[in-house]
Amino acid sequence: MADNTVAYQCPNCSAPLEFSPGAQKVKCEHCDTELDAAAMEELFKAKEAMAAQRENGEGIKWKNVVSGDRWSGQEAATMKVFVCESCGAQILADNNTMATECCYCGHAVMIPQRFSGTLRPDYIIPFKTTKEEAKKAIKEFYKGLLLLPNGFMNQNRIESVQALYVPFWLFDSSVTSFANFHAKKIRVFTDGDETVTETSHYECLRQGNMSFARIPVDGSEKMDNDYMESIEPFNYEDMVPFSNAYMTGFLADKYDVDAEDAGPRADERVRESTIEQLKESVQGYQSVDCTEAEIQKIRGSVAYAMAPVWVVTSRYKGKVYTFMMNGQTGKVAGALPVSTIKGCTFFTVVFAVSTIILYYIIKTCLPVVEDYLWFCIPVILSILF
Amino acid sequence: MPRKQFVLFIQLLCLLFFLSQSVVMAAKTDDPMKSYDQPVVDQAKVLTPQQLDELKLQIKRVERKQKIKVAVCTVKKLPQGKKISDYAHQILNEQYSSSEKGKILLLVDMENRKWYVATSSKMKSIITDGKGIEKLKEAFLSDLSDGKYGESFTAFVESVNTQIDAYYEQKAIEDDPKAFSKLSAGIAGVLGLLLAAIFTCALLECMGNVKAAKEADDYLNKDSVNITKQKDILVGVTVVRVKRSSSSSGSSSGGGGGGGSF
Repeated sequence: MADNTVAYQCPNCSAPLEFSPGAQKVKCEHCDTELDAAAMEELFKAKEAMAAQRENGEGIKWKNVVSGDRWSGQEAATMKVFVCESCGAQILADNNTMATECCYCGHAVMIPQRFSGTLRPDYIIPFKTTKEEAKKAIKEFYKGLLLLPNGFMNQNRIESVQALYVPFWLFDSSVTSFANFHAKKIRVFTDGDETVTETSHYECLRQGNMSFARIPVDGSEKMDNDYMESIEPFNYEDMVPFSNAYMTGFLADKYDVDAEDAGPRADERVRESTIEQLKESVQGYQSVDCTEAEIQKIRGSVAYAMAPVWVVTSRYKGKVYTFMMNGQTGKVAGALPVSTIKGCTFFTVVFAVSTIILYYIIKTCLPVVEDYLWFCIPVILSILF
Repeated sequence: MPRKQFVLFIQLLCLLFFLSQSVVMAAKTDDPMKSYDQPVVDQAKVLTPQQLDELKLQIKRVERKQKIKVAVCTVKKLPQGKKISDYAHQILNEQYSSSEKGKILLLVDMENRKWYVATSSKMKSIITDGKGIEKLKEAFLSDLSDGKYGESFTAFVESVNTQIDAYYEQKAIEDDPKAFSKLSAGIAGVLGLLLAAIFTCALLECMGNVKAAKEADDYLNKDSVNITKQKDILVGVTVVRVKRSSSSSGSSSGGGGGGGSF
């Protein structure tokens, strides 16, 4: 629930402030910042007005506008479901397509079951990349990685890359937002034998509207959200109304995360972007920090779509490692195992070689820089970090 | 004026002129602030003429050998309101010319029984404020306390000579490219460790590129962004004043030194 109360707080350290009647200035007892009473009064009024607006605003939920939300009998008859014996993933395919291994855990046994009712997608983004392109992208991804364990990704695994349609919820929203920013202007000058640092504290109030279109959140619990977000964005200009014809020869993941559960992830991304847009309007300061923000949805709607992804998994020491490629744009994402032996060897070799080279350089230069040695070390460290 | 009286008058004038120059010369020699490049200024008259000459010879010998300036000054009392350290540095800077490898001065204040050794910035790295001055003190202080001023100042000059010899012997060892340097090895080890860590972390970064998207900037309709209200309010000012450290007279020229009582 939004915080609609406003309290006098020091803008520098957030300690509570007390105002004396008729006083022009007030000093924070904790950080000694001197504050202008009239300015604080003005800030208090502005925050009260914003709090009132927030109270009047209604937070709305995402409106699901999925149409034709059930498969027709004819469509259902052409589909079947494969269930992974190991991880329980459910993969859809047409009757002519076999799921030979699980895309998520690499398990080779997929049990076919009858297709039963589920939501029918509104849209689909067809595949634009081929299997050859996916295999080439995998090889490029693994190329030249010194710390990759030997034999981790061999040719057989690359051949097993699968095309998969992943269920997505696409969120549209219009939002109105309120935010407070604490900004500082810093001036440093000398006054006699003193160095004076003067910090001016500002409270910057911002209010604005903006809209977002088709923020994707994947609807599969098995599909890691981080992976799907790593291969974004998709080009929605290629998105078409759903038809079974696009599914022919391809696998599709069955959604098991509904829109209501996927919504918060979209909400969080909207919030971050909105605050960033408001923050960009606070200009002319050395530092700007958001102290409070409230985002309210004015309008929100959801659609269900299928997005193309190439997936291959590989096991190493009991852990599953996944590689994905955006089936439309070709963007890749993956996490790879690290060979501890190779890592330690690399570290040791670099340490030994660099120490030897540096020793001779330092020994030659040390008599020259000796007077400045203790100054050089902090400078070098500050450059490195 | 008759001729005899005229000649007598001229001779008297010359005598007076000669005497005044002697006084001036004596005064110059006696006052550390008016004795330019004099190796020994004995205003307090603690040395016999023989000791003075021997000391001057010893100092000249050391100066030639080490390419430095060495000076010993004794004063009856310090100028009003002056600290011995400030006065010693003032004499060293104003009354002694620079030398290739630096200069050093021993000032002895007889009224307060205090001594001070002032070193130039070049000499400070050879005869350091801590250990260097301590070694000099061990050499000359006991004789100074016993009133054996000639022996004390001779020991001082000899100790300066010994310390400079030892410094350059050590330097020759350190500069030998074949000799192992622990300091260089230590620094190289630390930097090598840092470099190895940086390169290894860089390789580890390449092992995956999966990152959650925190924002939805790709899906923002840029034309829809409308800031309806903006207000910046100055609420207060914080002022921090820091005094800049002032340098002492000794270190303002980069020199050093140390002193004590006897």
